[in-house]
Amino acid sequence: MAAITAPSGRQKMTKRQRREWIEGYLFASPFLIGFTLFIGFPMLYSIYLIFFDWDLLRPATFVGLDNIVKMFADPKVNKSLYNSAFYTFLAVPIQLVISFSLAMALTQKLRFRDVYRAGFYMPIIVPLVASAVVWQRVFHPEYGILNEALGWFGIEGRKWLFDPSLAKPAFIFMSFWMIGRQMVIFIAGLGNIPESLMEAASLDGAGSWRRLWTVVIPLMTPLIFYNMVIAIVASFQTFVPAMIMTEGGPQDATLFAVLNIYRNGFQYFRMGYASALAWEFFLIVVAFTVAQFYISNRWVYYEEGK
Amino acid sequence: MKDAQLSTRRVSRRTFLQGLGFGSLALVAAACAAPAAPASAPAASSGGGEAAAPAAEPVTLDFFAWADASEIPAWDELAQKYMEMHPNVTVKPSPSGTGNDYYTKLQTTFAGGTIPHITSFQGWEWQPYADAGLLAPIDDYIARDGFTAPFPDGVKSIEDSTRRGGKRYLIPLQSATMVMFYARKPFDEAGLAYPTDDWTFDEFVSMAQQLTNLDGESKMYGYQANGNWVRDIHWIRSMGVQEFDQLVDPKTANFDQAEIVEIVQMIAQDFMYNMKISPTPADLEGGTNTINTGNAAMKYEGAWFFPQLNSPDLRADNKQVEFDVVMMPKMADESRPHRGWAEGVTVPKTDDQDAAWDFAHFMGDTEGQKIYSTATGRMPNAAEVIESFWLPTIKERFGVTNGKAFVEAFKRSEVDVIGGVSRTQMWNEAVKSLGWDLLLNNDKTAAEVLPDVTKGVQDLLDAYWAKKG
Repeated sequence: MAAITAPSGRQKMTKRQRREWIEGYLFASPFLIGFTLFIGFPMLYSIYLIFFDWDLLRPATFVGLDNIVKMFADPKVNKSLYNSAFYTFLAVPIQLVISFSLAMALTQKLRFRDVYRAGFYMPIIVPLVASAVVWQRVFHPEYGILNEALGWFGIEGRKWLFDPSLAKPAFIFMSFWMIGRQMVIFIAGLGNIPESLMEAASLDGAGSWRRLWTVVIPLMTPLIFYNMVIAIVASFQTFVPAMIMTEGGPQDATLFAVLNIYRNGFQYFRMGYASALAWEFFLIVVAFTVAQFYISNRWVYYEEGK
Repeated sequence: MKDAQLSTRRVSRRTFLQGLGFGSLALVAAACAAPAAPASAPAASSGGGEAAAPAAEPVTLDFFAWADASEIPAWDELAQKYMEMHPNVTVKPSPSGTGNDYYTKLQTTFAGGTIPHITSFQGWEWQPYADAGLLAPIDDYIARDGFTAPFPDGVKSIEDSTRRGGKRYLIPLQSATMVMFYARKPFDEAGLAYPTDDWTFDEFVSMAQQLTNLDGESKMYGYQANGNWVRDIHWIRSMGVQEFDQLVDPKTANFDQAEIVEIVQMIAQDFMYNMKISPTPADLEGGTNTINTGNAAMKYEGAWFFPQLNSPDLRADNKQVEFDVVMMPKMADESRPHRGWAEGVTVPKTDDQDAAWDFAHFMGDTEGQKIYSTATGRMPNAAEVIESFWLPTIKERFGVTNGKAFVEAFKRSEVDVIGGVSRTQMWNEAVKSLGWDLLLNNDKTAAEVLPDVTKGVQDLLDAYWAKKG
């Protein structure tokens, strides 16, 4: 394909170039159309809705900045953001540690290693609603297996989903069974570490821990960073378990941001206000993600030249 | 040469990909260009001023239906029966969940422009739709067809739950009220006489205490408290007070009256945590410790609950709970108010309004009522059908011998609260999180939370009236 020259000496597009240009857009058009219709347009429309009061039954009425003012004064908004942040900043680091440790273990030469890998990955393919119902049974205060297991060690059972101080930790604990995706990515990354580097480190006298800390982890930082970003965004979006298991309770302890947005939009039918909440949440998550990328320059190691 | 000849005859990869891209684009364009569902339009009909006659042209009616387990087969049977009688009509019931889920789907369905021809409604939820001009008044249809049995004079709960702004909107399919259900077995085992319609609140509490036994592997609670404001409304009103200045279109909320504080404290907290005669929400998790499982002796419920306790199917599996019903115990208000309302269907404004009315009329008329109440156990909408059909039927199917308790309860019934701010909205946005969640979790007392509940509900009412001007 001939390169297009600089603007001052811009060449006219040849017929072939134009055809290729059109073909490219044609191939991409299904995605572009779908994105525009189902994601782009609704997003733009929701910005418009921020300045309106709309209950789906009557025409929207203009309210100016009322929704934004209300958002900053609504205690449930702060509560929901706090709940989401609490869940995210506790769950994600622990998930990364567990998944990385599992990946390390499952790259060793073990009998039935593939079975273990499949077993740890299985929960990912279980529908979220089904797993929420199952976990609800696990956390049952009287008949749940978690309290049963604690009883074996003489620990008194807890009302996990009914105690405001325990509900979020219960959700965090529940999130650990979904670390299969992170584990698989770490396994792939660990497999790409050159054996020669490990041998060289051994020859230099590095023990297992030293090799882990100075060779393996630095080389894995891009994948750790990737998993961290994905896990943080996913954790912020926690909705189904809270909707199914606790409906945001007890006493709003599991009222996560997305659930609060859903409630305002589809239970209270305040579409304008829900749009304002959604955009506030979006901006917070984007800002946080950008900050992560900025900070990553300090600790993520990429191979030279790339 | 041969390879070149072959390559000219085969489709090249480039051509194949081009075709794939064009094909995908065509599919997307076709999907986007699909005719949209007909938008709602005010019906040309003024409400059926002409003589009743089913349309001869083929008609398809979408019925957005409440999806209680016992109602789904009832809708199917009603639709099937009606279609046999009217071959040109196709009725499509769409069971669409219950509770909040149902109204979420319904409201988004309206917003999306695919307005159903008939919609299920509880008696306190349709008012915002009527205020928005989405429902067709049915007064002219009623007059035309002489369909007055479901709207007897003097029953205020029916008036309040079917009429708004002087016009009638809801076609009752059941007369809903709630009474005390009791399981016979716990009483027999405790050697207690069954409760009777003239029992008092103190006798109720005493019975519940005597029936409660939490020792041993299988617990028995004397009373399974419902754990939410809307069910506790009965106890509040029985104290001779009410939470609002008026029950239709209230302007003022007042939950923190002394009588309300007293009874809510007892029903929503003391029963569970101090007297321990009721299971807590944690105890009820997963459907355990209920009257259904044989772990509670009494529960405040409605006729829709019959099939869950005792039915021909349950008896076939020997899983039935033998039970009966009584009126709620006498309390401070000597008139013994019970909660009551009509539940049924409305006819949204569409182009097939007349046909929709015909089907709704069928469901609300005698034959339809018999089909509906046989399957669901619910009390029909007309006194004659109740006496001649429903009372014997529930005795035979569900073992209910004191069905007259429902009749008496409904005669003295009043609605919960009706208006532009729905009861569900009050519960979701204020009463639950500010009040009942804290009570049921034993975190705060009624005296501490009910002032906040008052303020929360008042804010909703004030916002509504301010918008209304």
